[in-house]
Amino acid sequence: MKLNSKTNIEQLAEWIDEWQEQLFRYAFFRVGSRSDAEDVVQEAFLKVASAAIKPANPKAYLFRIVANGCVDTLRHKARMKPLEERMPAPSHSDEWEAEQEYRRIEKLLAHLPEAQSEVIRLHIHAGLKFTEIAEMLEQPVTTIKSRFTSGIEKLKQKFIN
Amino acid sequence: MKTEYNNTDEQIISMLTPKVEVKPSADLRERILAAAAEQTGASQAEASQAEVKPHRNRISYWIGAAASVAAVVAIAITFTLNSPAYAARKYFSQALIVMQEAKTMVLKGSIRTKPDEPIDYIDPRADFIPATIKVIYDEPMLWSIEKKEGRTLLYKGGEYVYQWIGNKDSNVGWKCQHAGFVGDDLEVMLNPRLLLEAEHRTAERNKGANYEVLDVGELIIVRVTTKAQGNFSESDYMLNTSLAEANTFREYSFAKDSGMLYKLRIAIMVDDKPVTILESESIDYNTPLTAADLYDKGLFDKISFVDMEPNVEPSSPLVGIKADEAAEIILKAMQTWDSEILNTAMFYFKGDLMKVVEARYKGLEVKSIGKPFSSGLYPGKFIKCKVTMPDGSKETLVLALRNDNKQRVWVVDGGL
Repeated sequence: MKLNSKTNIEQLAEWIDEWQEQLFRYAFFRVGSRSDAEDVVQEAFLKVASAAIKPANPKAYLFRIVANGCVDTLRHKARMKPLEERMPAPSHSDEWEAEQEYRRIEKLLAHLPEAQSEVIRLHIHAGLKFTEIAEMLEQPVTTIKSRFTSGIEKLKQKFIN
Repeated sequence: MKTEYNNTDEQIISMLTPKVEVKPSADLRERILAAAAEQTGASQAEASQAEVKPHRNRISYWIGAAASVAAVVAIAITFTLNSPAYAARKYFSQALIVMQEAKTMVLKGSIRTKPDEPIDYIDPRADFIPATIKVIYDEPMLWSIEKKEGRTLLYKGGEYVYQWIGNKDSNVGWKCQHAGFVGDDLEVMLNPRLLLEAEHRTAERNKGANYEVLDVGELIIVRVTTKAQGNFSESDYMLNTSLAEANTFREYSFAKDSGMLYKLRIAIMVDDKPVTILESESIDYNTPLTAADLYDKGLFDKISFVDMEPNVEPSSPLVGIKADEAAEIILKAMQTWDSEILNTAMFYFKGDLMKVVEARYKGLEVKSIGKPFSSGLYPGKFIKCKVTMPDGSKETLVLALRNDNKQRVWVVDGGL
């Protein structure tokens, strides 16, 4: 779909209204920064808007782009870390709290393989159903459920049992 | 396919569930739509050739030499909604990505300042003084900012930043953790890479700044107009004394082919007129640099660095009182030179500096102590004090006192 008509702008606006909060929440708890998360989400919408062919499942497509964008952002941030650490801390207390929350959850998820933590993020943070995650990751639903339950089990062993 | 969870599963899921709600900025939707419209607009513009617009009169002279070249056809790229910020952010972002590959950076330029004043001090009435910023992008990053024959600021890894005055044969310098010297954005403002990061973030939030993006020959010029930071409701004493505490125009020229920052110029508004405060002459990347190019290895034998975090007994008479009361105690201690009080109050004045202050102020007489006031970003208070000097002359001192240390003790930070 080339973004060259009023209809398509309206279509894009509808997608934004429907999914931007979900995408942002997922991206924020993936990268830990409001501005980075908004960047990734914005790029995803622009990409889907300029795609040559309208995706069959725009929601899955958007999540896939956002997930990839988050990985790229994290790689970039890893290289930038010494500089980032010297930037002024966010002054807005809500933002600070959210970033602390991100760090707390990341510490927990750090005990899991990436495949399991990603399914947990998509299910808990983004609120996607297992069937939606399966479609997005192009995996059988049973695999997705198994990754989720294995991840939860591992954390139980570590933190409860 | 419904999933059943037991209690312990629920506990873990609860631990993984964010306890705070995060939502995108209210204007994200508009930003995306504006950028999408821009994408479309750009392709249409290509078809019908780009619109050529003149520079805005208000800042036309900002273009400087570039604008004086008659052949230059400048295209002011105007956008709807928040697009200038979006476009500016794009160029900041590109430059940052390119800079990731740079191993070193040397910026030579000039700043309107005074050599002996703190490194972030600016004065629109002062002459330009040559300044050099050298950075080695390593782990840890090393950098220095040097005013010619004046103060130098050095970071060589570790927790401290060091500052000393190069033109004096002084054996005293200062060291503090990052937050101290860079609390007023000094490092950010003077280090292009950090500056670009700060600009990038500001543009992302798109608050408190205006942007203009110009396509000029081989360059993309991004102009940022920002308001002074800090609180000036009580006094404008600190207005225009640092770049952060001034209304500024910042102009970045990026090379189109490489995306690199090519030139940097910062001006502040004085009586509604911009006065250039900082201007780069050259920005070189990947010049071979070693630590020895940033500081002399004998530096730490020659200079004793005073930790900027005072360490005093909580029983000091300078704890738990108001700033004007502290000013009175300190000035009266100068009359008889009460070392016990002054060694605490003048913690930053060690060695030679303390001797200079003693020679000048010992025996002074306090006439009046003014009401403390705040200004700009300064974390302490200013107090106007009228004194009779030991030689009988009258002087008004504006003492800068701060107690933002662990012990909450008032110490003299300036004004002598």
